Amino acid sequence: MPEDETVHVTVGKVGLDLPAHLFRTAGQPIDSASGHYEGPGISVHIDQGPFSGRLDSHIGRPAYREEALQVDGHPARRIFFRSPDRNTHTVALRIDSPHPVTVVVHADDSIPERVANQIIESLRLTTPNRRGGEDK
Amino acid sequence: MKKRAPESATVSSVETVGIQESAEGFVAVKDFLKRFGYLQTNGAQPAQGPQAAATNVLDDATSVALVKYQARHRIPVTGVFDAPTREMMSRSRCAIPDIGPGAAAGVAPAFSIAGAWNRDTLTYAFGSGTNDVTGGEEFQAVRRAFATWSAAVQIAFREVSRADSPDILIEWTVADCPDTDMTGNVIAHADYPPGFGFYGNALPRPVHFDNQEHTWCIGAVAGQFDVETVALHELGHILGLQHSDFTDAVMFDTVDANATRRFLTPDDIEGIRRLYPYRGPVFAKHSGRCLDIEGIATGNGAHAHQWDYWGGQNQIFRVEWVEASHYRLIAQHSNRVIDVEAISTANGAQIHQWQWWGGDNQKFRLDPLGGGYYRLSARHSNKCIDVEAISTANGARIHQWDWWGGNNQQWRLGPAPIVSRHSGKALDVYAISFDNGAPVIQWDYWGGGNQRFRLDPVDSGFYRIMAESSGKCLDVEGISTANGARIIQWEYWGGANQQFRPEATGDGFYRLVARHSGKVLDVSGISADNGAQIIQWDWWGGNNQQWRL
Repeated sequence: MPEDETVHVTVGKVGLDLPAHLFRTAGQPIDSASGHYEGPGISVHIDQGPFSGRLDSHIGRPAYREEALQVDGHPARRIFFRSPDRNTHTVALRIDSPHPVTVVVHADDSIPERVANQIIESLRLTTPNRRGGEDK
Repeated sequence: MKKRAPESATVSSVETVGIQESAEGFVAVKDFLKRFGYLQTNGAQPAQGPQAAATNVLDDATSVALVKYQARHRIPVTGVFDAPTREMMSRSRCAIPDIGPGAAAGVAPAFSIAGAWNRDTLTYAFGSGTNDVTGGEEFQAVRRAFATWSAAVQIAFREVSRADSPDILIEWTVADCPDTDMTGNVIAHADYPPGFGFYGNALPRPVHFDNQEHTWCIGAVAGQFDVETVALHELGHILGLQHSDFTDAVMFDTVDANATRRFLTPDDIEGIRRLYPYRGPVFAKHSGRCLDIEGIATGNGAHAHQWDYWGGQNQIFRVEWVEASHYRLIAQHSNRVIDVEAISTANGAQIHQWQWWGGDNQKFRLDPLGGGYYRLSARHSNKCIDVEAISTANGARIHQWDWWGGNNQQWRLGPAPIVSRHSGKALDVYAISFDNGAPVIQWDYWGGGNQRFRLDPVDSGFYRIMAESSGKCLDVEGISTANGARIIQWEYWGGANQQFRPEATGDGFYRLVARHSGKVLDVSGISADNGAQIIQWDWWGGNNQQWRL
């Protein structure tokens, strides 16, 4: 399978394209629509609902930077930081919509940052789905 | 007490061991800590006879190593060898040391917050329970979850009846509850504090468990969900926390059936501290005296020194989260912060107060050292706040110094032991009881949560003194004003019999004066025995009436 091949997944009202080799991990969402996908050197965490995190505590971490953007008309914030002790980087997105969304991509430094950015940039908010949770 | 284990003990078979206790086979725990980089090896040969017994002692160095291990693995940071630590050490793991040259300390936070309550005492009540468990155990599990949060933050929770207008109402409901439809993907929900609510802002704030689609249990049961685990998560929302993206955090957004997650991780604790900053005196471990701004000066440059606690506002600090794992210490009397003079990175640089400007010399990393004590390391220098020359005298200068593990570098910022001057034993809630009315006694300190107490300022120099293990407070039984009235634990309801004022008696010791009676905490019969009851008595200056905080 080519490295860049992707598959579209939907979690709650969030649709995005993930590298095809990622697999969904087990785990019961407690009080939100959430999904976790993992593959060698990379993990993607999607959380949609009133309790999803705003990512504020990452401010001050190594190489931290953030940018404001719009996703499907909603204000959003993309952040980036590194964890040098673990040789990883993180790209994350927070969308402040009536149904807030947080997506966090952690990856080893062996994986180009563009992979995480492509995942984030593929995100679209889907037609409202009362209970969310369609899987790949 | 000496405890026994098989000769060929492995970590999994070693019993719980407290500080300065020993157990046969405990050397296996030390070997584990050495192997994975937490405890320094000294190159000595294996000990024989009495020396071998010594290696089975949980000494101070091992306690510090356990703290590092516990913090890194996000289990309760106790500094003793307890059940969660044994369970974690018994798991399969890779053979590479966790800590080595160049390794970074600690774990970066991933918590998020919504907002905080504007008071420090909250009431809760129960509605309908579940038939999935018997004997009201689901309610007891929720009470334990409240106690767990209460140990981490200066908030007291009190159970009331539903008719008493509680702040929080916990109940098991149908999936399509009045707030939201939990059908399908979720198992519970709550909401944030008033003013930050998603489903509205009215009281009581809801905690709803889906009683229709899921089966609830106590502990790990296949296909079922542990009440305490989910309650701990939902109460985190009630207190204002959002989800964390750390997979081991209580505030992570998923949970597994057939599993429990009942302990706050450092990430959860850092999040709740951001919402509810610690406020109170900061005592030095070696002297019992506290961090103090000299002369109650309010200007830039006023020096920090140690002094007996006397209730001055120049001795009260608000410890506010600034950024990843770093805090600022704000002096209440001046609104200025603790600061390393001239941004110096040298050993011996003076600690003073200065107006906040965001410098790294004003940000301090808090590393737990066990027993409620912390190392405070300046961000710019990585040196820690230290009492000069290990002095125990009033007026001793506070400066920064390289960390070497001295008690003059350890500061009380959490629940810590309260130790009797005459016996050297610690206040202790009898039998680690969770119940209202449990007697408070003295016992050798072994590291239990029933032996650590947090001082929460109330007003006028009085404090409520809360047990870490139960979330309940010291209380003079029956609001009695008589000599000999027992000290028990009770939910905090604001009674004057639950409020005590520390007053220095010299040498870093304090009497603890009950607000309602003016009498002091006293070890009954001047006993030096384990189990002696703590009572109130008129102050007469006895060593059995003096305490190290």
